[in-house]
Formats: sequence, structure tokens, C-alpha cells
Amino acid sequence: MFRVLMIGVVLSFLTAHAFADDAEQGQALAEEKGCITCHGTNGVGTAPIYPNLNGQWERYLRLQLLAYRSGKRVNSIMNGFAQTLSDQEIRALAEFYGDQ
Amino acid sequence: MKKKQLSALFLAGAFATLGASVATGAETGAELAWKYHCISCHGERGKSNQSRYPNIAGQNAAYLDARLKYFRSREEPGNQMNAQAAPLSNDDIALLADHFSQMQR
Repeated sequence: MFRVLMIGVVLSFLTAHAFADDAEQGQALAEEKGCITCHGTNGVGTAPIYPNLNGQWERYLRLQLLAYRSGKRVNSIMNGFAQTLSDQEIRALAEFYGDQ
Repeated sequence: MKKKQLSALFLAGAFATLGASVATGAETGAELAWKYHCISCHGERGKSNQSRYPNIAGQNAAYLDARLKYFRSREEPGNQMNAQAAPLSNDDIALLADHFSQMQR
């Protein structure tokens, strides 16, 4: 019984760390992948043609990244960027830039 | 001028003015946003109630303009916005983009 409890405690610590890290990882990814060049560190577009991402629905952002990656949403710049992203990275970026 | 002639002239002038405003289609962005049902999904203040409809308040006008033209061109088959953008002229698009871009983000 005690062993089960300890395994549970250790597992919950490990997973909690992973969840808390999403937004942090998102920020690191945004820099590493070059998102900040066009969308800024705060989600404000750096040129009029680049959309602001700040205050956007997190789920909407995630779906757009998935659409860019699959090619459903057509954009020569974003299709390329999105293809470098895994599912988990997409989640992290959407959480970093988005709200709710 | 006789009274009858004056009335006729007044009426002619009134109709001409009315005709002119209809001809130029001088609707504002706000009127277009209502007319083309933008606000029913994106909200009167550009913020939606559902994540499937993006917030567009304070979005860059150039981006919104390009995006509406993308939808109108049906470049992405099956997108719900294609039908919404279909009836829009370039002027409508410019006015709508400007209207929503001015809202508070």
C-alpha cells in the first residue's frame, strides 16, 4: 500500500512538472522556432500583415497551427514553420500565445 | 416660381439625393458588420463567445483584409468563412477590416 502511494506521489510530481512547463516551453519554442520574429514575444505582430496573437483563443491558435501543418490552411510562410512542430510543441505554443 | 413647380423641384432634388446615396453604397464598416452577419459569430466588439470563432478586435487591418480575400477566393475549400466572404466587394472588405481593427483588443 505504501509502495503504491509512493509511486503515485512520484508520478504526480513528474506529470505536474510537465503541465506547468507548457507555457514556459512555449516561450522557449517561440524564440527557438522564430515565431517571435513576426508575432513578437507578446503576441503583437511586428508588421501589419502578421496577425496579432495576443488575446486569441488558445484552442483556435492550436487548430490553426494544425491546419498549417497539414496544409489545409494555405500560407507559404506558415506551412513551412508548422511542419517543424510536433503536437506537443503546438500545444505549448498555443498556450504561450493564447488566452483561455 | 409657382408653388407647384417649387414642390416638384424639391421632390426631384430629394429623390436625386436618395438615389445618390444608394448608388455610392456609402455604408460604414459598422453597418456592413451587421449586414453581413460578422458580429453574430465574432461579436459586436470583435470578441467571440466560442473558440471556433477567432477574436478579431484590434487585429491588423492588412491581415483581416488579406484573410477575407483568401476566404472569398475559396482557396481553402470547405471553410465556413468562404460563404460569408462571397458577397463582399473590395471596398466592403477594406471597411470591415478597418472597423474591426479599431476595436480594443
